[in-house]
Parts: sequence; structure tokens; C-alpha cells
Amino acid sequence: MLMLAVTTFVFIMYFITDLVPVYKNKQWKLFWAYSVMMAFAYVLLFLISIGIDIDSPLKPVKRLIIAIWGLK
Amino acid sequence: MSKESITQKQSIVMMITYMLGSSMVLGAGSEAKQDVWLALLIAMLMSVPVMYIYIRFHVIYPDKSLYEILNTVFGRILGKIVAIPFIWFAFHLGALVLRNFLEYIKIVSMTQTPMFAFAIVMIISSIYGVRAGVEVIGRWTSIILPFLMLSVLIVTVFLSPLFDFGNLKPVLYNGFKPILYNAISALAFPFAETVIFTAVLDKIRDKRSLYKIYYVSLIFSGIVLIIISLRSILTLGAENVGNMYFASYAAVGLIDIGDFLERIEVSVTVVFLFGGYVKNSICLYAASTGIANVLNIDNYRQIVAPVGMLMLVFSLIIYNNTMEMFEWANKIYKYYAIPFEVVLPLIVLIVAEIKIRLTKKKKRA
Repeated sequence: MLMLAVTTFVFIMYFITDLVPVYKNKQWKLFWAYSVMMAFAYVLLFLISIGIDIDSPLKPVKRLIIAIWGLK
Repeated sequence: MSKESITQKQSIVMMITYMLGSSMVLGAGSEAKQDVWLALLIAMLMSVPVMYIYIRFHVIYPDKSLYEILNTVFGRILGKIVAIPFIWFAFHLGALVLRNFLEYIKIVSMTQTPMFAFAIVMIISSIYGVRAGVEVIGRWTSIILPFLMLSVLIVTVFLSPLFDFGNLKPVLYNGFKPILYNAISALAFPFAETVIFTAVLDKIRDKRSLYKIYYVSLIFSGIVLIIISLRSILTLGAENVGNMYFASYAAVGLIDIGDFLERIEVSVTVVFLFGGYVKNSICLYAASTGIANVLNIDNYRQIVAPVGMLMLVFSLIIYNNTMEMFEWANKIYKYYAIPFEVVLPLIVLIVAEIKIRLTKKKKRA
């Protein structure tokens, strides 16, 4: 819960300091890029804070490297 | 907004701190055991032509960052596509460095504290530093590096009574193959990770000093890494170093001078953390400038926060435990990193050189 609270606080601060001026200046590409990236990060942090295990995206990379190089 | 610029001295200190950042904590080429010094020396030699590739980028395109070079060489659309692997590598490396230090702090001192607590503080600091600009990171590193070197020197001096030079023998016991294998590992981590600096060194004021920046940094950080690795081997022995996660930290724990100077690991840890902060910040800077270039965002500072938060998330999910982290670092990383550090930059350089020669021929005609 504390992790979620801290995460939410940090994200709100960044939204206020960064995203509001971008919205006011009508920089829509930056606005959407910023929002999508932050939303994705927030969702993942939310899932981690409630104890959901997220698989590492490196696992397939590791399997591929082991397969290509024949590592044990 | 005024154009950022960094001096030659700032570039050198940033690169040294960058190379030492996580390798001081994790060790480089450590699987070579008592021959680690040989592996590091060979890795330094191997790094010379690799760094020449990075330097050549800045020589043929002096005022352009890596991403601008890719746009010039490959065109606007293909340049952005080719930039994606470099952006990914910078991003991933930043997350790896962050996770290395989170594991380090968790294992050596704050075992009960959730990793997220350190992670959020480190990434917010990195975001702040990168938004302040690479000049600020350079100035800050110029202040921090002397403390880093002083701590290495003090610890080495205090540990010297415990050195057992017999731990270095037998030399080449397992033959040359493990040394070469670990030299490639040391090339991949940390020397060739300086590919990230191709996104930074367009800011340097004096372009003539690029050879000096790369090679002085290589020699200095290589020597320091050899000292740190040798120090661990001489005090702990090769077998013990192989069995430990953070051998350099364990070695520092042996210091006991007159029953009053002991348990100084924490002060050394703090200094190590500064090195990790610099490395993480530079990776965040490279990833942010790359993403800004791909999305055609004028000011990279506006995109640093979301990139930093994604880096934080990624650092928390990449490994399940410390054992996985070391397995990746010792077994997998060199195969993963060499394409990004050597193969891809070499291809880009070859295409760039061909393009320049063709352009010159057309101009003469």
C-alpha cells in the first residue's frame, strides 16, 4: 500500500509539473507520448505493488541466446 | 535554451565513473579467478579498436549525436528504425545498472527494506540530474570522482597487510581459453558500454580531444578495475571471490585497524552508489535523447520523466532474484551486448564511411 501511495504521489507530481504545461501549450504529440508512457509505467507499478508477478521480458532473450550459442 | 557543452576534463571523468560505476561492485571478468588481471589487460587491448569505432563517429560527424548521425547516414525514417536498438540498449543498461545497485544495497545493508524504496529515490535523482543537463552531470562527476578514487586508494592501503600473493598462483592454471573468454566478458562489461557516450560526446567543446577522452578513460578505469579485482583475490582468494556475490564489499569488511577503524563498508558503499548514479543518469540521458529524436520532440528534457519511470519498472521486473542477476551478468550478457556494442556500430560506421566517400566523389565530379 505504501509503495502504491508513493508511486501515485510521484506520478501526480510529474503530471502537474510536466504534463499540465504541455497541455496548455497544445503540444499534442508530446502530451500523448508522455501520457502513454507514464500510464504504462503506472499500471505496471500498480500491479507490482499489489503483489502480481510480472514475467521478465528478458526470459525469451535469454532462451534465444542459450539456444543460439549452445550454452549450458 | 543555450546549447549544452562539456569540457574535455568533464568528459573524461564522466567516462571513467561510467566504466567504474557498476563494475566496482559486481567485478569484471571475475570468472577468470586468479588470472582476472590478465583478462582485464586483454580486454583493455581489445577495447582499443572498438573505441576507435565510437571516436570515428564523432570525427566524421563532429557536431552530431549518435541519433543525428543515424538520421544523416540512413535517412529520416530508416535512421529512426536503426536508432531503436541503440535506444533499447541504453534503456536496458540503465535498468540493469539500477537493479545491480538495488540488489547490492539489499544484500549488503538493508535486507528488510523493499527494493522499491531505493529504486524510486535513485530514479528521481537521475531524472533530476538528466533534466538539469549533461553539463551538470559532468560538473558533479568532477567533484565525486576524486572521492571515489580516494576510497579505492584508502581501502587498498588498509587491506595491504592482508595480501597473500600466493593467491595469484598458479598463473594460467586453466589455460588461456578461460582468460580470453573472460576478456570478452570484460570488454562487453564495462569497456564497450561506452558506446552510450556516442549519444553524449557531440556536446564536447574540443572535438580534437576525443582520442584522449576515450583512451585516457580506458587506461585509468582499466587500472583501477585491475587494482580492485587483484585486491579481492589477494585478500579473499580466488575460490572465495568466485563464491561471493559482492567480493569487493566482502574484502572491505576485513579491514580492522587497531580495533577502531573497522566496519567501513558503508562509507565505501555510499561512494560506490555515486558511481552507479552517474552510470544510470548517462544511460537515461542517452535513452531520452534517442526517444526524443524518434518522436521528433525538440527538447529531450520533457520526456525524461516517463523514460525514467519505465526504467524503474523494468529494473524491478527483469530478475526474480540475485542469482538470476549474476547468471545474466556472467553467462549471458556478453552474447547479448556485443551485437549492440560492436557489430551494430561497426555496420553504421562502414555505411557512413561509404556514404562520405561517395559524396566526395560526386562533389569532385
